[in-house]
Amino acid sequence: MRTFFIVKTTNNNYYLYSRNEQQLIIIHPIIASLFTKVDVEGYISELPVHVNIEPIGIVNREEVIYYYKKYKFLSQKYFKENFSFEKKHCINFTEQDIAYLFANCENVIFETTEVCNLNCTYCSYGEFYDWYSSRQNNTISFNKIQKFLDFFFSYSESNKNTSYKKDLRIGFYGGEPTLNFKVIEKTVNYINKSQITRSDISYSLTTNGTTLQKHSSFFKENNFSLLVSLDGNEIHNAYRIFHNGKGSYKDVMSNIEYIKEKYPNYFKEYIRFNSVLHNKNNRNEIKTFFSNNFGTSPGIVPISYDAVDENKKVEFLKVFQNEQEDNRPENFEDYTYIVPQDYLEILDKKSIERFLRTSIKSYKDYSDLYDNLKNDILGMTGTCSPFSFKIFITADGKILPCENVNHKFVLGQVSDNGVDIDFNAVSKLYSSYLMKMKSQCYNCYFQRECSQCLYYLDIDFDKPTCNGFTPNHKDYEKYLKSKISALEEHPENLYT
Amino acid sequence: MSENKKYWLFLEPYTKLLLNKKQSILFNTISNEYIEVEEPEILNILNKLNSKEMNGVISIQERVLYSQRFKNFRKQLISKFIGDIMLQSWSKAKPIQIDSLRNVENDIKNNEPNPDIKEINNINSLTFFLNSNKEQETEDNEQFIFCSDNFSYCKEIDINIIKGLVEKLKLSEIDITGENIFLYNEFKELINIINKKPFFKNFHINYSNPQLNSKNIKKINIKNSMIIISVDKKCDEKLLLKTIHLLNNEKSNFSVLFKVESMADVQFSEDLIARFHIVNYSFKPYFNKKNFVFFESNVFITKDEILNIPNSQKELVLKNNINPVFFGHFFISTESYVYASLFNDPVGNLNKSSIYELVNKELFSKKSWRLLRKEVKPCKECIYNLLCPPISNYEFALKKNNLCDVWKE
Repeated sequence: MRTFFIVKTTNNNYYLYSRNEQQLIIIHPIIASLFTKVDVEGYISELPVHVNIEPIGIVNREEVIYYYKKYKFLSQKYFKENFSFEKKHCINFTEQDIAYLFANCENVIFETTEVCNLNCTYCSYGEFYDWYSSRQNNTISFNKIQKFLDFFFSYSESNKNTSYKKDLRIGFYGGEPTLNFKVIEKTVNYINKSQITRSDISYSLTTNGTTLQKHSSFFKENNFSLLVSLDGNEIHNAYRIFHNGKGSYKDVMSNIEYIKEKYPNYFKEYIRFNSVLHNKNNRNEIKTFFSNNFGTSPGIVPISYDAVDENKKVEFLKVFQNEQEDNRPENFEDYTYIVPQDYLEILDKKSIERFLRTSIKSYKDYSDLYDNLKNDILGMTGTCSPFSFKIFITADGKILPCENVNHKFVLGQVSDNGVDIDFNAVSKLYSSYLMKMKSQCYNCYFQRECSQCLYYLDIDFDKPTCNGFTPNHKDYEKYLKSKISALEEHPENLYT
Repeated sequence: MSENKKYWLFLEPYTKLLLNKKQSILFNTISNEYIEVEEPEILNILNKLNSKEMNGVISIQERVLYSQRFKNFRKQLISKFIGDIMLQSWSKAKPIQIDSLRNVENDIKNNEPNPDIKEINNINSLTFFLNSNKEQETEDNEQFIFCSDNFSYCKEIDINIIKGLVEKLKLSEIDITGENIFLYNEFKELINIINKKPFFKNFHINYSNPQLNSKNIKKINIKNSMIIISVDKKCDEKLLLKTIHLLNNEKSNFSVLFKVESMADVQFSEDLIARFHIVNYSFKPYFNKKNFVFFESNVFITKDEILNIPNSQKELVLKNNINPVFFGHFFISTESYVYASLFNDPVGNLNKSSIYELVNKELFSKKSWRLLRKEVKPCKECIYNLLCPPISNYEFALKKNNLCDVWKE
């Protein structure tokens, strides 16, 4: 695979990018032209007195020779190491790796109930999606939560936790989680009385906002971080309806205004908003609404385009709106390539930050400065290693890697009798998934930058296909060109 | 020459720009070449280049670029591959020079807790004192680990402390030392424990140790190990030769550490090395409070030496953030006290605090692991502070941070 790239931006600036070193250098057009020569030495030995170099024109021989020396200097210093994907990324997880990740996990989320008092059209548990019929209005018991917490704390309070005192966020999810408020209350009280010394605990909750006022004092007393779903103004919230078809906007706004007035500091510090982008709103209008009403800016996400029911694709497309360009794909066949196209073409601040973070060398922490101190387990693809980011417990006690994956990817089970989780089995299962992706990942130019979650692929198949698989160096060049050109246009993003 | 022609001027991302009010050094971290600048006009340009708003590239007119004042600087910039200049007319917009290896993402800013820092990831190596007299433990070993020929001791370390740490931590190296490691009561158990581990093991022994025999050498000839023999000017040559023969016969991996306090000691040691054909050795200067002149001549560094130290980009980021002499290492005393440097007070005691807590404590102190030249006098004023070797135990011993000829007090 190619290890270096000559990038010519839309502004006609030339750069050399080294994949091995993850470094980017401005280069003179003469150096760029030398990289196009098959036999550089031969070319140099036969140089005339004046040479025509695109796009700069005629240059004298001495200048070409100077840049030839610089070309050699860069070649010998920048191409010195062969990049080995195998060395950098772990493909064979062990039982100890999984136990370590479990003990060090910083986010535990409980689905308190599958029940929701709203019937939002685009809900990821709704009609548009494959798993629509699998929801059975389950509700979790406090006993199950207690069993899980006891199990989890036995790990996070042990030596397997490698932090002196880590942050631990306990989250509540649904359905509408506040419909099982008693369980939330009991959980918080239980944790507050537990002898936890190795974690600083905080709480969070995702809510549709319809019951906020009722529980606001509890949330405030326990410093709950609330993520409230609201798509903008009343028209924007047309899809957020109760089961009887009535809109939820007025109820939610009333609750939000109540908290804002009664607990202004808490509102400012702990309440955030999430808006779904669809055909009845757009990014600018959403931002304007929140800025005018709350002096804040929401997270904006498109309707999920994973696991859409084939039979519902026409209705889905009517509602869906592309995140980046506020456009909708023209035909459904394009839908499956949203991910790679977006990957190459997104030029917003977030994607540029991602480019700087993943494609340009930096050190994660002090131990990264010493290779032999490194303890990180790097998984393949963009998938979080099991429990590395969060642990999600469903209302019926399934243990999943997060709330965004299909419930068939069970890693363990919580019952009223206890926790059943086999770290060895998890390690083997996860390693088997990675093995299936190996042939694609090892030959993909986006190894470092990958954001593909393998749980969104047909990972059950023998040979799952990653739509983002990029074996062609020209696509990676295109990616570099777009990102570097965007940075030239918006250099303020360099130091965000 | 057209006065209207404009150029982009930039430094290469592997160039380190060191700048203060009066001078600048541009250092090529690949070739070690450098440019020293004192001219105010050029310092002005470098200051502009260094500002975040410029993103590593500035516009410069041809008349400035080819002026007499700039001529020498421009020639060096180009010939040493430290920077470059390009006509602006070739491109439609200003290029950007990304500051590669910018810094550490999860560092400790303003000494505030950072939950993204995993303490245990930051502990790399340990030194265990198996047995000692308490005072000698620290005093004899402050500047470097050196086994004396005392051989008497009154305390021993609890084997469970060692066991707990080597099981818990992901170490790359440990040092085993003490008044007489072979007489440690749990020596057999210790070897059993550490032999199973992949980290490197250094055993420190005085050349005249009465228990240094074939049997004991065999015990410590384990995988990934090194025997370090301490020798000073009182050396009994015959006994040293006998020790070397013994180690060679057992095919041990060993090195001889010569403690030197004067040039006479150096010459004496060199003579031994030559006569006894010692292959692996090191000299460790020892400050005895009376040999400042020896240190000034042989340990202090000159400005030229500083500029010739090979400093890669990574090493500069390293030294800008942590002290690599001390970082990641603890000394564990016989009484379970934990030290980052034996010149400083203990970080804590393992009978009262967990290792995680002590790592966390040391990460937030600036006494050893994060003791940086740029934060101490007089080095903080000096343009070379990042190029210099990090602060070490010698600075503590001499009670002086600048062991150089650059900043004379």
